[in-house]
Amino acid sequence: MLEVRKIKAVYSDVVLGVSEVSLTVPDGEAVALLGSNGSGKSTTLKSISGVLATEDGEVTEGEVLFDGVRIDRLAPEETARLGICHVLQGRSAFTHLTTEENLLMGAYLRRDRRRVAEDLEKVYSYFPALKARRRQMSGYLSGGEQQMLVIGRAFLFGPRLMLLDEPSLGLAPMIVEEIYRILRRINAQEETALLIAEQNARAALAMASRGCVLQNGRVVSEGPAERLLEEAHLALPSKVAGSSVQSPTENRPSSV
Amino acid sequence: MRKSRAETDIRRHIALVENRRQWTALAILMALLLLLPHLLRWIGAGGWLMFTNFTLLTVVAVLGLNVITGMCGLISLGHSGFIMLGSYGVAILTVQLGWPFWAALAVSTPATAAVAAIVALPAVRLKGFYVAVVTLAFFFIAQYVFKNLPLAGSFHGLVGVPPPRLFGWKVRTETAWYYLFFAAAVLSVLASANIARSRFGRAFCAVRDNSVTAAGLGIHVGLAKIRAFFLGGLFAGLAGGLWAAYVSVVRLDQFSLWDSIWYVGMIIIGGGGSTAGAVAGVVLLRLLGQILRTATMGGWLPLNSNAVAALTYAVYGLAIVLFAMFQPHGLMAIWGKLRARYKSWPFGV
Repeated sequence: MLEVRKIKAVYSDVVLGVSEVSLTVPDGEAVALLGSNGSGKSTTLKSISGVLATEDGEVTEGEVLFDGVRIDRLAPEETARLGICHVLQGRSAFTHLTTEENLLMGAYLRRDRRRVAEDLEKVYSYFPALKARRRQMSGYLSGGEQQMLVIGRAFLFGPRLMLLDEPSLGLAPMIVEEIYRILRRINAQEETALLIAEQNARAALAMASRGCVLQNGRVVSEGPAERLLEEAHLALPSKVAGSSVQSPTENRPSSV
Repeated sequence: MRKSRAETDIRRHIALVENRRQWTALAILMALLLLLPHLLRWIGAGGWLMFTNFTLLTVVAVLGLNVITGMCGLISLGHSGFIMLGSYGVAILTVQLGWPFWAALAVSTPATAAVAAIVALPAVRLKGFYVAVVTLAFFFIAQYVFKNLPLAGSFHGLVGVPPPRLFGWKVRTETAWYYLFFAAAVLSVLASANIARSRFGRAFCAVRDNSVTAAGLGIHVGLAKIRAFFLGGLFAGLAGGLWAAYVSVVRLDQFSLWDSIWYVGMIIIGGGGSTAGAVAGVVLLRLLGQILRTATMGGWLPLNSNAVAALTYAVYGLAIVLFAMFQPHGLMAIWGKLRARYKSWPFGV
């Protein structure tokens, strides 16, 4: 479905964001995009969604294909219309709108009101915490709730491909787990393809089928999630497994 | 049936008036406002009618600015210019071309909105301060054009805008004007509240709060800004057109940059983005000015008219600065806090 072919992204004509990044996200699959700070994860997502242009960046080489159509020159609202929803890093809630208004903004492009109402209930069943705060300004939500909100909003968007930029950022391990549990459900039940940029490699690889490791703007490793998880523990501990979060199912000692 | 409940929930969520108590309060308020001219006469303050009439017109105009600045977050210092366009539009069409008032208003209002949308074009790519500069430039260009346009009476302006006819009779008395402007204000409040709860209105707020995310959800940010200016221009055009008929004279010095600034101040004092807040901001700031004026005319303050004008500006400015410093979310935030405290009493803080 999504194919990124050797893209090079440059900010303000001079700052190199990524060079030669290639990856594919097949229909309905979840792919983890891993790497440390500044490795180019966010830039890769922005190149796909078109948000890059709003930050004075552009894809200068290579191409991004969505269903075989080039999308790397499209504006974010145009890629959105194709069914790509980019959940930006940090808590990008519209702070002066209520929780419910925020969620409804996700359905901005949708005309099927009845289905939207159903999906809204679904979001509330995924995240009961949001239902309790539906009439509150979203600026008053906690960090975890805001992250749930933006994921719920992306769900209401009804995307074919969801781009998630560090959904675990700054959240308590328990909340991270809850968010990933829901992401797994969205991926499995709604058949939404996910591309998840994460520093928290374990959390992302636990749900993704494939993974892709970036370093200094290049892909350094790629493959099935299980293999990367192995590598994370054995070969590249400092690069990939830089996460402090352990899933409770495994109790291995940290390898560093 | 969970599904159907979800739908009614959405409807209730965006309902303007939620419960019976609010309906009652609204009915009492409307009744009071409908009786206001008679009440004012009754207490011997008939002279205040002119003040209330201008206040209603200002409400219409500022609700437009509230769409642009409050909802969409684009600071416009050209609002006085949009009102000027609406006024001159009506004046030119009626005085120079002999159109009836309503036809002139029906043309000049959308024309004003169209110009506002054009002003928004450069603003599409700009943010914050720079949008303000563009609108400021528009104001001076508009002023220059009307000053040199013979059709607009050049420097002297146009005199003799006819009063509108309603169902056969002319609007003449202050009370009649009051009811006309009251209707326009109610219409504007309804329009503004409906914009706020519509998909477009939420898109304005989304663009204001986080334009990148808004774009990512499929909102065309530039188009949203143009729409906001267009809608704001509609309100301003309507207010300007009525203004022209009310004072029957349209001159350049009626529309100053100061007014634009006070309008922004009213939005700040009211609490940006909220319809009720914008109305409250207009009423509060205008009342402040009127009280100062009355106090001097009554001889309670030993000042001449120049000093009063300066004092009024100072008080306006001080009010805006104090609000921006200590209550940046305006009167609406104060109201919200009071309500929350009342609801949670005797618990809570």
